[in-house]
Amino acid sequence: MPNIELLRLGSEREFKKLFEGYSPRILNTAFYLLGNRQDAEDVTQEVFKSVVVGVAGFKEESSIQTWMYRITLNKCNEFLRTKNRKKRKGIMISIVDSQALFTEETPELVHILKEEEWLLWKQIQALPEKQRLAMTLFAMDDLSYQEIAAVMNISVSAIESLLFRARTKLKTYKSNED
Amino acid sequence: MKTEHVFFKTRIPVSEELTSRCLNPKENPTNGRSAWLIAASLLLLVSINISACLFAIGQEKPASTSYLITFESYE
Repeated sequence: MPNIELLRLGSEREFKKLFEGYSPRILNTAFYLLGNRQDAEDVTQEVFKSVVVGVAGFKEESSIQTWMYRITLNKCNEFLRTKNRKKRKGIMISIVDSQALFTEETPELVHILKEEEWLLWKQIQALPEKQRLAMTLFAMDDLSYQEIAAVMNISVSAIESLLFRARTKLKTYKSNED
Repeated sequence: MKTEHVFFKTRIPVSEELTSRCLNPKENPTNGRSAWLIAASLLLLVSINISACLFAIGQEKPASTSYLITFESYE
């Protein structure tokens, strides 16, 4: 666990400790949210940059892990929004579209993931945004409901409901496939 | 596939390149790219301002015209 005070003072050693401790989780969360290793690496770099800049204002109301996951989700959303905006090329599509943050399939994932994981990943991508985020955090990082709630800044009961609906949908997809 | 307990087992490793990009940001090529983008944006902004000023100057009526109108109105 890195020392926040030393991080605030700009300790390179503490930052290295933070990077070594959290970069695998941040990278893999971004990878499962974005579906592409290069994009996930770029987002991970952005997350650590934001941590360096923002640690001075970090109020320690949540754990540093929760804070970093929150930054990761924001950076991934920002990345997908920019990517989707570029893809639209001026075509007017509602910004409030629940599927706006739908990431594209990438052949890279097909090679990396096992068949079952790939199928699951594709199904999770088809879920509405909040369900997709909650399910990815749950399935990827094995975070508790409390941790997911803290990261997404919603109540634990809302997370329970999101995951229940997500599981129901995944079961429907599964039965449709069979 | 059990959807009740879904977990991704595959993990991608943190590459040396990413480690270097995060721990030695000075060597990061994207920083150079952002600097170029900022410089280009500033240059564009200055050019737009100059063009706007030149356009505004070009749109101004010559002072002699207004004197003439005033003179004619007195007549």
